[in-house]
Amino acid sequence: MVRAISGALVQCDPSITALVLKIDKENNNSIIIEQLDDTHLVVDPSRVTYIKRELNNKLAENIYSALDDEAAAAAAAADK
Amino acid sequence: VVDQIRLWELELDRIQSSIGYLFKDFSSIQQYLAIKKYSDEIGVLLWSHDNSRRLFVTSEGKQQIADYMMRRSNKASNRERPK
Repeated sequence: MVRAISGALVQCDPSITALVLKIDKENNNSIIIEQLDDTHLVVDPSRVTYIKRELNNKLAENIYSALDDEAAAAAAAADK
Repeated sequence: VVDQIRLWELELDRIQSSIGYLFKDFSSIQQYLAIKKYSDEIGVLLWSHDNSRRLFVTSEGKQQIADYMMRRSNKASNRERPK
């Protein structure tokens, strides 16, 4: 019997999909209702803002760690 | 690094979300295809995947599809029991 499940369709790049899957795991799988394919997810509509905020945080972390790596590399070069 | 930040900003901008309904567990491929065709025609279909028989429609589309399915099943039962 056909079922209709209420949700928010999220469309994004595969790399962002992977990050959302990670965020879902960190929240006891409470966010994603169904994974459709590499670029589409159905999520809890009340969590969309949260997902966007978490994505921002995670992407910011990546930027900082890239900066740290560069700083570390520069420090290592200066030591030589 | 500035380029990287811009790239990530672009990626974030690319996230699109739309509220609606996921239809799944269709009883037959015919039923799935009929609903897919109908929802596409009335412009409410946002995503579909034939192999898994799942499709996603806008919130506005849900009621129209429910009505359409009702009409379809009425038609089918009328054929079985002609007046």
